[in-house]
Amino acid sequence: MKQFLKKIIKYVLAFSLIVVGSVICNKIFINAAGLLKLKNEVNTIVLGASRTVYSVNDHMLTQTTNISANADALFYSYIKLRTLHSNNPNLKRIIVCLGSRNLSDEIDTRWLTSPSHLESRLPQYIHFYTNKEYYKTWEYNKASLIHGIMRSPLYTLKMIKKLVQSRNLDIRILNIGGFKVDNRNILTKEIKSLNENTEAKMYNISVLEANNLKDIYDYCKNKNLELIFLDTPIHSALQNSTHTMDAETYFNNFINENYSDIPYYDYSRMKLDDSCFNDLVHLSYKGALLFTEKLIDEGVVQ
Amino acid sequence: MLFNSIEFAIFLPIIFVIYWFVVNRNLKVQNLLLLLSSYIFYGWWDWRFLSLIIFSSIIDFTVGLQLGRAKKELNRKWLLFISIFINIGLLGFFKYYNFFIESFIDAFTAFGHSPNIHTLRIILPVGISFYTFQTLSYSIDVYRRKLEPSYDFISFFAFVSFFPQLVAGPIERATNLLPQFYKKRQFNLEQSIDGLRQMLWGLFKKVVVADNLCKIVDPIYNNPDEMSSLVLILGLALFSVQIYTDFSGYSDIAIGISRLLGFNLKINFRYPLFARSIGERWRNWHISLSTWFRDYIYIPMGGSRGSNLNKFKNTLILFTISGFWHGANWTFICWGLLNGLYFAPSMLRGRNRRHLEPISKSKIFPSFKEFTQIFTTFWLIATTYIFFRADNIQHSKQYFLSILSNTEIRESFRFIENNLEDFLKAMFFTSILFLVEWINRDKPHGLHGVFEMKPIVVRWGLYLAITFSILIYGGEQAPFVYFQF
Repeated sequence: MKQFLKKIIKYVLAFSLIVVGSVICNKIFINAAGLLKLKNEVNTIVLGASRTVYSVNDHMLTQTTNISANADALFYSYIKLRTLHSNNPNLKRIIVCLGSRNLSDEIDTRWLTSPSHLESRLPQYIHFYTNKEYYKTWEYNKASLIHGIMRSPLYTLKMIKKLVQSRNLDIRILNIGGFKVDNRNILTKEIKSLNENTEAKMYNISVLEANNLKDIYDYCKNKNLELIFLDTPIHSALQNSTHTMDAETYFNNFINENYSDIPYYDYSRMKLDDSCFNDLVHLSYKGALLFTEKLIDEGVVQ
Repeated sequence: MLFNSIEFAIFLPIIFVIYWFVVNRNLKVQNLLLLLSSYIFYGWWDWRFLSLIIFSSIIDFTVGLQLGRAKKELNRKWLLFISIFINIGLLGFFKYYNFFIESFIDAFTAFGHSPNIHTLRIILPVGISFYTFQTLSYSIDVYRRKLEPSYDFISFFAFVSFFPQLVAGPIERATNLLPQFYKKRQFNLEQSIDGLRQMLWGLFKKVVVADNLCKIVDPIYNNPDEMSSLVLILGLALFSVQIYTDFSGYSDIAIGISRLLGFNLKINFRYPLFARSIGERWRNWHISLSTWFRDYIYIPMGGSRGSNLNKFKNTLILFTISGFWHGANWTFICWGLLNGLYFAPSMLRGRNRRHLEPISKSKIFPSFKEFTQIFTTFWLIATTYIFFRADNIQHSKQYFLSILSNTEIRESFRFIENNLEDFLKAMFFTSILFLVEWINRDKPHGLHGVFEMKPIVVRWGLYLAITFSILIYGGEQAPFVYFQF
């Protein structure tokens, strides 16, 4: 029996060593390569999900980096905020993309507790996790936390490959965000589907995401960072849908009650023609150019 | 509780430690621990249905005791009848009641009547088909005087509800498993390590191969109308592999856990994907059920004795019952019948006992003849899955007609292209499965002694690679297919 237990313990140790070792390796690689260091002149970061990914073109900006990522819940935005700020003390302004959709409880199942989503996100973020985030992920989905951690060694191998191959060692290697151009064009299809689908949907604020937003708010308060909420343009067909209007009313009440001290730049009703959209909520390259110019003109970003 | 869940990953080590370190000196307490842990394991799914297992155990324990005392043959027959009536009655009510009512209504409606009978909302208790057959084997064997009645109710109750094989087998015979509860069990290092290997291989088959194949197979079976012939044929082949890996994976885990606890369960699958004939396929597939039917139904019916007509009739009855055991649906009956039709010719010609030796013994590759035989058997069996996997007869008909009509080749490539990543992943792991099982086709399980001669670094490296692939590429904790039976 002793021999059996010894073997089991050795096996578990070897296994844990690989997992923990790979998480530590990732951390070391990231720090050694300075991947979390932004350019010195950058003092603003944009956090959010796909809507800001496709709408804030930071190639046009000198002091702003867009670090939002597709399908990123505010949970991940908070992790990025904390990590980037500790590596870039000159950050002054934090722009968080926030609209009724970001805080909808639909996000819970799609972006927070969904196994496939969690398991793909975890290896990218786990080396930035604190105990609180481990606990939260455990609450979201226990099995996925374990699966996700197990994927760390694969992520390490990919990271090593990228570090060897890449000429520009910067935050983009981490694949945790950045401006992208959306080449799909499904606007007509989506408008048609919106018109056919008039069924009323319930809108509720996600309790999990509301807590994550509170974490962002508290962090910015404690660190004296200027926090700004930003909503990006949506297509006029969607603006006028009953569901959107109901959701907006509900959402606006929530923001007014809890975050009245935070400036809220709402561009959801900005007038743009169809060529500026790839679908109902995502901007095309042209849309992103116009929208980013607008943000520059109004002094939201530099 | 599922074997592929976190709950079970916590549950098993706790039971293992208490079993071997805390209660190892007292056999009765050790059996009591197994009984309680089995009830926890089952109750985790739905504690209300524990009452059924307990009820079934009480009936068969009492019947067993009375059979031991009864002297007159008539009384013994009555006692056996009570056991069969209650056990099959419970199974019949929970599993088949709605099926019979619906079929009855359909039959009357066809003749223009509409009887005022309603179906009930009945939940099928997990594992009922498995533990009912297990307890029945006890009553029948005691009746046949092949086994002494049990006077130790803890051992008996633990035998009925033994958690490793409670919900999806192997269906153990009382003659094999029950005596193991009476004897003090000694920890055996080799057996335990090999048990762990078998569990690891079982998990790989279920979580990595079956669950990844499921991602391809489900969309094909769910929308046969939209799929091309080639994709539908591919779906049949992949489902063949999926159902094998899902079910044999469960059996491997069950046998592996039992070995960790000092028990030996009977082998349930002997590499049926490499079968060279339908006879060999059925000899090596779900062995515990096939032999149960053989010993308690087929042989008492006359088996392969008598005229060819008699043999043919018995074979078809056996396969149809076997199909019906799987589920209360005409699809399973058709599946069983079709397998019976495939099997009958070789049985009538007395060729069903061929291929008793492992395939290509002491050779690396099969001969061309063997390969052709494997290929033909595999595809014959795959065609039966049109019924097995379908929701109803209409669905299987739709699947079959779509194979004949949707002959657009480009559509096939589009499906694969749209699911390329999942497809490649499934194919990669299926290839590993075939390779490992082919190498070990004469051993009790896929990882038995494979790496024994290799240096420790290679051996552990491979074990770790399998462990990581289970944790990394595992699907979404999908339940085992056979749970529904």
